[in-house]
Amino acid sequence: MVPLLLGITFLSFLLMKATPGDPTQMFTDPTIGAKDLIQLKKNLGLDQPMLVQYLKWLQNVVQGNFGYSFVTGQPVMSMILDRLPATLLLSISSLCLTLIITLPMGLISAYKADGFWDHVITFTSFIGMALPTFWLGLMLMLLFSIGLNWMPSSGFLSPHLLTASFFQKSLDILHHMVLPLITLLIGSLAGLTRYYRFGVLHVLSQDYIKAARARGISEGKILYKHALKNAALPILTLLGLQLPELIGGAFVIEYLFAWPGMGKLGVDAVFARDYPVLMGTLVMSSVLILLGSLLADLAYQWADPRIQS
Amino acid sequence: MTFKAWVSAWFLGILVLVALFLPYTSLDPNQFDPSCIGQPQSPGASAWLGTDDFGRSLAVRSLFGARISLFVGFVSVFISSTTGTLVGLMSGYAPRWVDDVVMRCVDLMMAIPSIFLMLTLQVIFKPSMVTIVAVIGFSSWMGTARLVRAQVLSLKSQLFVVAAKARGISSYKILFKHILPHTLPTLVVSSLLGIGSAILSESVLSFLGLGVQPPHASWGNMLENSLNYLRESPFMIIVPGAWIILTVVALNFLGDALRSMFNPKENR
Repeated sequence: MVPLLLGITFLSFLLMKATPGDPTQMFTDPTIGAKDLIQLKKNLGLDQPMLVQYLKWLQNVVQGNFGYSFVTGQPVMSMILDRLPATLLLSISSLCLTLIITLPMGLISAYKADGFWDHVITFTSFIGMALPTFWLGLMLMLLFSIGLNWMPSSGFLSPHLLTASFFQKSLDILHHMVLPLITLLIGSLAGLTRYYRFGVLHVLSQDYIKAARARGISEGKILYKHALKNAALPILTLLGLQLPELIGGAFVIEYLFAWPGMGKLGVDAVFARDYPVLMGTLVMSSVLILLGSLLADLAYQWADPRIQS
Repeated sequence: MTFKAWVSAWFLGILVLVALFLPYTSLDPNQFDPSCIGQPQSPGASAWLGTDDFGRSLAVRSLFGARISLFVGFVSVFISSTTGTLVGLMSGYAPRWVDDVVMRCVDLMMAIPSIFLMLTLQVIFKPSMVTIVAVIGFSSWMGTARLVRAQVLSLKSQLFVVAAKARGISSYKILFKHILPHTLPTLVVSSLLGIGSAILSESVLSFLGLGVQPPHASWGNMLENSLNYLRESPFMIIVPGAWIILTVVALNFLGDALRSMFNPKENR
């Protein structure tokens, strides 16, 4: 975990160093002579070996200092912290809903394998896996905000509600969240459902299920007590593994729906060539991902006591 | 092979042929209509699938888009599969500590959201055809490396490898002549699925303007301007998206069919 984090910071640092130009070119006016520029570089520590520069940068990063945005001049960390709640709201709700929907769908699909619903679910998940998520977002926007005018196409909170009550605000935010949430959901559901279907199929062919059937336990109980949980275990691992894709996908969706989260911050920073912000979001999102996969591992150990750490 | 897989194979085959021979036809993806600038047309007699905001035919452009999107898909998967295979072979066969180091690097790469890495790299190395292919390939070799490594680990203790070792055959030869062929089925399947996800990556990058640059047409960059014409012309979104979905679905069906062909024991 810690070496992985160190690696990520090192990689981000290398990327930042690989960007064309250096900060002195940004902050000085052209009348400053070459000699002063060298002095300036010395003052900023840019003449030191890479490794020293990296360690100094790391020291700051560990203290939560990612430097200042080239564009707004604000500290990167506070910009990220401002955006974090929106991102967490969106990604955690989509994660929870994914689990809630995937489990019954996979179960139905596997229980009546090759049945009507299985074909419907399998086919839909194939389409779902082939959908570019941002395109799905565009289509939903087209249908629900422009065609039917049911949902706002972008944003987080309507400006006229800034002073409204907490309840009204929450309702408005939820209203704004529907489309990005559905987009994210469909994107992540497809793969998981298919995977879970395999898991249930595998569990249903096990001896203990046969034994349970032989003892006359009802099908419902077999499904809910035996199959559902056992097949859900690998899902936890898979979720941990898919986390980077989920969060990466959420970035584009946030950008598309102008959802003021970390992802939009990052994508905007890409366009503005705002490297400190870019690196900050890169490191922070990787930290989130690592935390998420750690949680997934812990949940797995909790759910399956046979696994020892 | 199932019916779905046959249809997919035919679809992809025809698409590849069209993409290959398209430049020898009289179609021009950049033939624009000055009177239509800023006014995308709906499908009509002159343009079957409508036109984009420059009056260019969406049908023609999406055929040319197939050329570029498929090219990006194939080449970047070639890069990622080759890299992944080499890394996986080496990591699985090398001493334990090398394996550990390499696998930690793979973990590291996997912990970074690939789309974000690709965007950053595209900003650093100005977007061009070469960088797109390289960046997509470079951000997606890890899965293959893991797959191949896992296979090498299970293969290297098998009798035929032990026998080859006993006969004093060099590690290089063992890896490439004895172990590699056994991993090929997995590789073919994962590459087919990889082409699909590379096409999807290309479309995201191009949609954000950091992928294939105009005037070239790719399915992704045909979508780039569509956001401005959501109201006027939904066809600018629907047409390229439909091509992407059809192609990626076909690739996935085919990959799935091949997988069950290679592992007949695995239940569907």
